[in-house]
Amino acid sequence: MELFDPSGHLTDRALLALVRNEELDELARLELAEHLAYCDRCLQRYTALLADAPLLVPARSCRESLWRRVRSRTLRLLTSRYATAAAAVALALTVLWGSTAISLPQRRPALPEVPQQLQRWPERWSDSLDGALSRFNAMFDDLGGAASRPAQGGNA
Amino acid sequence: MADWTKESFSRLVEQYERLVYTICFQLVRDAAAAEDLTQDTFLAAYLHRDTMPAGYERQWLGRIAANKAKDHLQSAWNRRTVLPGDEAMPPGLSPPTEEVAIAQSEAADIAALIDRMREPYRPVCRLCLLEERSPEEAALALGRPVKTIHTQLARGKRLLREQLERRERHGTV
Repeated sequence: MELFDPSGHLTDRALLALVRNEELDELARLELAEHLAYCDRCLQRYTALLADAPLLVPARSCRESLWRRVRSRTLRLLTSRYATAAAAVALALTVLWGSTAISLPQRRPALPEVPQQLQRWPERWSDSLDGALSRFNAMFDDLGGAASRPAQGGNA
Repeated sequence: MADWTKESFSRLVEQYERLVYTICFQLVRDAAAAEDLTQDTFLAAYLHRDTMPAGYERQWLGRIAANKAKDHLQSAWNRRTVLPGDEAMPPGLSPPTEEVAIAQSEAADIAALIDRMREPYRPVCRLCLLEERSPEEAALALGRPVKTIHTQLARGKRLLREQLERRERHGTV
């Protein structure tokens, strides 16, 4: 059977074979579907033939499952969008943090010069501490000396 | 109809479900596959409902259904026609057997074979193989989608190879 006429459109015979569910091999049906997918003229002829033919009824209606699929697809799209947005924010923060860390030493203002008095303060504090400790040791030495003197005196 | 609600789209599904199923079944000849393709058609229609031309719903849904059936048949065809071992090779390294066979033959023989090819392969092979036009140019010249030109060219080359092999076996064109 000739599926196409010389002008490249489907023959009436091919369309009738399709509508009447006549024997057509897989390649023929693929070529018909391929043509109907882009040719307005042949699709119109085909749907006009179907308008006069009894239509088939599917065993299961797609209405309920269609809305389930619409919902799951919408959810998947939303999830994907939020995941993309979260990844973009994370990336932006990482880039921002990286650029700040690199440029921080250059941006940090110079510290004010420490006055000379303050620079000497640790030394003075250290001297005072040393002095206090010396006095504390001397006090114990004095106490130790006072305790040993009577004994020495007693022995003597 | 510009604003589609769930109710209005459900009415559209109810109105055209049998038509879409009939188109899918007549093309794929498998009830279960036709049911799945019907659902795929309405899902695609719902996702692109804003582009549905008012008053042409029948044609528009018929076009989507034919496209879904075509994709189904095309993938089934590809699964069956891939040679054993081809799938393991990277596409760039697999030997294009059609190209080799065609290159080895005389140009005049090829032209004669292409002239005797049937629609829809003859104009595609003539433009792409004889006139060395790109698939995009052939698509523009023939008013077919570029993807269709690619698949028709691949199938046309396969038909040519088969004819050349037959000619070698029998010694005639």
